[in-house]
Amino acid sequence: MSIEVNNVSKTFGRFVALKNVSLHIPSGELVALLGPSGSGKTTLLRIIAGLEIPDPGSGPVFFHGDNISDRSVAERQVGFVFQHYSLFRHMSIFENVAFGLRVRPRRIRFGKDEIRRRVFDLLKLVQLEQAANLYPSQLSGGQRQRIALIRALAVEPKILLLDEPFGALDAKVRKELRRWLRRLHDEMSITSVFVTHDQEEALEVADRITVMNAGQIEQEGTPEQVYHQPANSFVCNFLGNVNLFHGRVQDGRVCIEDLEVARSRDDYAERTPVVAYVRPHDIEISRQRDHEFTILAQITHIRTAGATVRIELKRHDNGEFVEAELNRNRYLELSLQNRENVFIKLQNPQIFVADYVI
Amino acid sequence: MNVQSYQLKQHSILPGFGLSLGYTLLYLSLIVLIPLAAVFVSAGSLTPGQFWAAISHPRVLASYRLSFGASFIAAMINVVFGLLVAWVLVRYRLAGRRFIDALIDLPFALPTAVAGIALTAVYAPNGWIGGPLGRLGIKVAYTPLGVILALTFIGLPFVVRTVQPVLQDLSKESEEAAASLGASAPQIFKKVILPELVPSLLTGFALAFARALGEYGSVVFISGNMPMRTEITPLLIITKLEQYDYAGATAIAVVMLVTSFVLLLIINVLQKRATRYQF
Amino acid sequence: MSMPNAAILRNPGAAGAVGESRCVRWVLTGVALAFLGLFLFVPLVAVFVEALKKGLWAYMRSFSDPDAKAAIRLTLTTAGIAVPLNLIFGVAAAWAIAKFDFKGKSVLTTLIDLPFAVSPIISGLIFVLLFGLHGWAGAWLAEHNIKIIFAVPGIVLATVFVTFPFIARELIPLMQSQGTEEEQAALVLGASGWRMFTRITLPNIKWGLLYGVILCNARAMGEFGAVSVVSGHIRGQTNTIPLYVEILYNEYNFVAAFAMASLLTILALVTLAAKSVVEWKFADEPSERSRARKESRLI
Repeated sequence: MSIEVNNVSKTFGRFVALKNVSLHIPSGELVALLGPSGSGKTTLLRIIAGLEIPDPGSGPVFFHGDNISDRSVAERQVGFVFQHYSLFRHMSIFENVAFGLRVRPRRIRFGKDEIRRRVFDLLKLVQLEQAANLYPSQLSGGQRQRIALIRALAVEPKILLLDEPFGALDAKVRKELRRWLRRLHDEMSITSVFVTHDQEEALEVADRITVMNAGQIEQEGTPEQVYHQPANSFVCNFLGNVNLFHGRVQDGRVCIEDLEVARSRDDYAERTPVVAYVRPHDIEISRQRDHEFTILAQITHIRTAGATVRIELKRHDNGEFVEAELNRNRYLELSLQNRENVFIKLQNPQIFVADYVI
Repeated sequence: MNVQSYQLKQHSILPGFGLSLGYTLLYLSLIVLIPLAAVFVSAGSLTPGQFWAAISHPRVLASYRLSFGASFIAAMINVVFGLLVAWVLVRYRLAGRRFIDALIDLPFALPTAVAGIALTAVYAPNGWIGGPLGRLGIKVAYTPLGVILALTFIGLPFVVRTVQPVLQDLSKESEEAAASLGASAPQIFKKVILPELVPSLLTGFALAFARALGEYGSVVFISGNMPMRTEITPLLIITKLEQYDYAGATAIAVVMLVTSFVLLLIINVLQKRATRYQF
Repeated sequence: MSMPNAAILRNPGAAGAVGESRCVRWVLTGVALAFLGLFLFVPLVAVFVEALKKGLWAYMRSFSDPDAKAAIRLTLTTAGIAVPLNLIFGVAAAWAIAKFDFKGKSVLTTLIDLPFAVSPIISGLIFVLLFGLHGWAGAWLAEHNIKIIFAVPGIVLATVFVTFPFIARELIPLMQSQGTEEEQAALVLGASGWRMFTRITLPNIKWGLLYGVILCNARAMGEFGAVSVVSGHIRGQTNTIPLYVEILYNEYNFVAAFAMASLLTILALVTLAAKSVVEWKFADEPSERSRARKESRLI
């Protein structure tokens, strides 16, 4: 079931959470709404669920072509998973998962045996059959969220919405639950939208990512697209670590730190200031200066613990810090030492006009 | 450090433990424990037969029926309406909410005698409300109904104040989750909200009940104090004292004290159980 | 969650899409307000209406009666003794319970709560049993011509008993939620015990202390049942304001009775106002403190 949102705005008092946002989510996809606090992603999700009502004048919300703007939460038949402890504290795990099936009107309600069968099938899916008679307070955070997931799925919703579902959990548990979510989604082919501020999570789990900031959508695309072809400085900065270099347009070409970058932009005036974003793994280090390795910097910190080697350098010209990432072999090849002076090369810079201030 | 403390407490660099604890225990014993013990010791001077006769006299039994019965009903009324008031105060946007909220504590801050004469003035046969009701044939003052009303007034803040914090801390997400799973508003109230409120409702009931049992000042004006009909147990104790029937007074006092202590215990247990499901 | 969302979730009546219909809300609100109006507002207004029934002049004249003045004096004296005594106790008890760990702490806390659970009549009875003519110390007191029951000391004792827990109950949760770190820091920096107490502890608890004192005072001045038992109702000598109100009422002198009652009512309203101010001050503090306050607020 696809989701379509048209020109939706939402204001809370004087705070504008969403500014005229439009979004289309194809059926069966797992989509991430990614952005910092206050970007409006949670508000958008809740509007889709029916938990918030958009401002008057906003466009309609469609589920697979049906205008559902006037339907209440219960009528929309969406599954919703919250960040914090939305399990019913005084009910057992079984009763929690069965809840949605039990509150249905008499006519369409399943019989007790059928409900029981369904609940245990779901518990088996997340490997928590033995928890059926326990209470939420007796489970770990990760187990609770698994239950929250299947509770939402118990009523067979056409759309699954998750609001920072793993935010309150430890890093390791988070990774595990991401895998569960991905698995459940693949098995059930249910249109899913989840909200997160963790770009790593979005990149890892989602089919498509919608990057939001200050109530608007900055970019929408596959993880590869938003990571490698960011539409603007914000997206570039938000996804992954990034180094910042300043430069300007000169003779029709972009010059970063005296280095001519092979990108010419006809539409920008001379001397327009630009910024270039370079990912740490796109920084190359060499002991020799040449036409590519032009920036002189001193190594201030080397961190070898981890999958790759992180090197922090301080530029000689302006004292700014640069973060580089090398794979272990390259690092050992170069046998770099702390406090050494080396030269830096920038690869794959993402260049934007310097109007966005971080 | 403090020599007195030996193993009584864990080591702490803060001073004054011995002094403060010592003074506390001394004051507590002098003002509270010894006087309270006096009741039981005095009652102990009665033989079991005398004791039983004193507490099971028909007039005394009638007073129990009135005190316990009216307190129970008043506490029940307060449970229903206290929940309602707390609900409206916490969940609805009301003009003058702060003012109303502050006023809830009035029965607690107002001296009982003032409450007593005010309520009597209102519900007496020629009072603001007593008058119209009287014309409808309903007598309030000088009847058990008046006693119930007075006790409802006294117990009003208890349920409201125990339920309010729980309502405020209710996770809105649980309700939204229930709604997203298809539950209607009454279903959400019955299945999700009410179970969370039950411990605090019980506690509030017990507090209101305990307070109403021992209440004197606000009841004694409106009740009329007719023996066997509208005489509350505390008044009976005073009457016996004035007749120098110390034994009788003490015996009844023991019954009331034991009840109060049992209630206090129940309240403590309820408050502990309230946190059972929390995580 | 972003700030505005959290703020909305905690706001009553905020535009949520979940909950009862508007019609139901109006009905519930109406019933709640009617209940409160009937039980709270009407009696409150009745006090002042009855007091002013014969005009402002009659109202003011009630206070110039010598017995009235004696009652006011006695009430003030009693409160003036009971409150400071319970204040010292409250601070000492809260210090011992909140800042230290020892066996039997919860028993002690329950014992401090005892006077709350005891009927006011019994609160007076116990002192009659101890100091009355036929009481334990009765003979000894009679010998030495010391009057406690049917005299001011008895009234003070009964009042002290009844208002015993107020300040302690206010301070204990407050000091517990504040922990011991600040005091420990002061000691480490070289402050003496007394210095630490006056400069660190007292300022931290000042609002709770103030509120406890106000509450204790209101109850001390308004206590009726316990004092009624021990006082003997001797006009001009052993009548506090509440007792005098009773006497006036029983003599059908309604205006004077309600006039005296109005004094206490005004005191009650001041107490409620003070409570609001203290709560407003606490609104800025971390939520643990306001929760600690809420727990202590009962009875």
